[in-house]
Amino acid sequence: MRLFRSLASRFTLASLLVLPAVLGLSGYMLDQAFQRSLTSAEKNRLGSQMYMLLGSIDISGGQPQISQELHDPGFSRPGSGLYAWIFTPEGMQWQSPSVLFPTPSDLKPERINAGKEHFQDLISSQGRVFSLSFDVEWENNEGNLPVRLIIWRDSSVWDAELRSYRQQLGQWLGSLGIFIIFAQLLIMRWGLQPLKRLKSDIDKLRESPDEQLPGNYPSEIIPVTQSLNQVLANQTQQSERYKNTLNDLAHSLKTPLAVISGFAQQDPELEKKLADPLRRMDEIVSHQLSRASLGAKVNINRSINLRQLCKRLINALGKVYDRDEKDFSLLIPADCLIQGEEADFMELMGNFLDNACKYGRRQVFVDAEEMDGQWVIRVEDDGPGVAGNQRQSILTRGQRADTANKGQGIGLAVAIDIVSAYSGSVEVGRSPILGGASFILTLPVQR
Amino acid sequence: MRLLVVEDEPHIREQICTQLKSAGYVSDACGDGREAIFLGTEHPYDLAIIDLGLPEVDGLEVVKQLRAEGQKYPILILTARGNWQDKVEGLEAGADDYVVKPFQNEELLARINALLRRAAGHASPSLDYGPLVINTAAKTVSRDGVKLELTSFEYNTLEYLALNAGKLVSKTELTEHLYDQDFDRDSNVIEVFIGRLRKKIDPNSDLKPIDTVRGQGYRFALETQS
Repeated sequence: MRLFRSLASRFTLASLLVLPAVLGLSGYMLDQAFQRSLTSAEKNRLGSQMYMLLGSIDISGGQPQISQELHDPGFSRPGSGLYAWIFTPEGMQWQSPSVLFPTPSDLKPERINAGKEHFQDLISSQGRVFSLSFDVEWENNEGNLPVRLIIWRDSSVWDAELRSYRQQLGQWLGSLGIFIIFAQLLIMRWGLQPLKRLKSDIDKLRESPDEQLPGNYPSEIIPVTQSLNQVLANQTQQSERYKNTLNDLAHSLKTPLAVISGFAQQDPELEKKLADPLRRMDEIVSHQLSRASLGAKVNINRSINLRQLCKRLINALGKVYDRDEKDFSLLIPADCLIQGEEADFMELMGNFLDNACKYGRRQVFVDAEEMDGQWVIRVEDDGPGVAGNQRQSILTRGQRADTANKGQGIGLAVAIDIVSAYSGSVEVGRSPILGGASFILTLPVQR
Repeated sequence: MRLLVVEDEPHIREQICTQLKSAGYVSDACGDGREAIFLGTEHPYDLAIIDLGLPEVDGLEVVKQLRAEGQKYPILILTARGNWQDKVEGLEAGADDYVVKPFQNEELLARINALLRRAAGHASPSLDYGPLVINTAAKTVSRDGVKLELTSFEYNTLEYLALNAGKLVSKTELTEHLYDQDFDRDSNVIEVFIGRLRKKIDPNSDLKPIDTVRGQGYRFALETQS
């Protein structure tokens, strides 16, 4: 049922089913109506021939006779398809010269009711024929003579007219069908255009998250865009509130820690005792705050341009580490768009790039590529690298390979938390180009 | 060196000022953003330490305003949350470095030192003038490899002149950057210090590191070897 997820394929399928039915039914009805009108014309034609036949009858010897040449030559030409008989209660009195076959026995009337006219469409020994019979009473000197006149005409003319009509009807309906299909395709394109525009507007929204959807949509779509805008506004507000709360929390937890740490540093003895618990408290607060901010993800995933994000981080790190000391190679393609929250990726890439600056000597290399439905992001440096036996342990949450940078140990743990939240993974190895540590992040591409 | 300290928590503010004083820096301190913008634009500081989480006008705004007013001195931001988005925003707003709270005093002083040195255009903490070497990290001076005994005022005077090498530094500027505000600016203490400094670093007057520009001030005349 994958096919029916597309509105266009639904419409196409529906019209493929409905169009032949409508055209077929119309064709059938038109055909029936035409047959009726052909039959009725046939009846009229037989009627006028009947009057002409009547006019040609003479009664001689008490029996009806055709005295003069008949008006329609069809009656005289053998096998012409136009036949006539005259019956009295005694039997057949006359038959047209065109009749070359034995007179069907059932033509002989059992009773003649003057004034009765009877039209029939019947199958005879000559094939399909239209038959008109007319009963009259002939007044003569010997009293009233009941007479039945019967005219037959075969269906060859009727059939030919119907055939030609059907041919024309078929052509017309075919052209109509093709026209309707094209018209429907155009209507569908036109009708679905606002939805296409909505999609492209939503795509644009991923790149500039603070914007709203424009209001110039058809009235059926406006309720959707309004609700979407409301949701977007709520989410922006909520994430702003969340950010502020986390900042307040950080401030109100870290400031007293800084005060205690400051006082402790004034007394070397006290500092020795308090340094470790203070560091641990600081790390726990930092780590938990980072994890809490991971929950601030909004529902509509937005795209981040990873190259631009890393460029901002590199500019910032260039200030901190003195631009001349570090040589960054940013090889992420300009169109690298990753679905996610900017704050998460800023934290993730910030921690890896900062580590590369901290432990590397001069060169830092960062690259990203899409491979088999996954983003593979590499951050490499030219430092001493991570020893083989430590590679697994530094990736275990909260553990550090060394204690040289006190209070900075949670960076990697936070980064790993973020990668896990995005269902990705981190590997540590040796950089083939720079010789130092190589951190390889793998994240599934979300579409 | 005169530093501006902007921190709303009084204990931390006091602790930072104490540390700065013991390291030989002079500092002005305040606890809110508005005052920080006023002080930061009115006085020619050598560096500002600004906490990001200030009441009313936040630290990021203070940094932006100071840069918009054309202040070029280095700015160090203090951040409680320490997440990269805050750090990047702070650095993009015009700060030069950050320290995450809680911090070690040594770390803060090392960062301040590095920023001051970089602002003066020196990458290395050691300023090498041949026979005379000033180590701005250890705050020591040596002449022909022999460490000299200088008071912290003498050292600060020498370091300030050296970091502003080639520029004319007036006595008023020296007093502003080296001493507390209540210092009597008419006194000839500066002249006495300079005289004593010259004797200590250049006893035979063969190097002549500090020129006197009559009636205007002083100029550090040496150029670094590296």
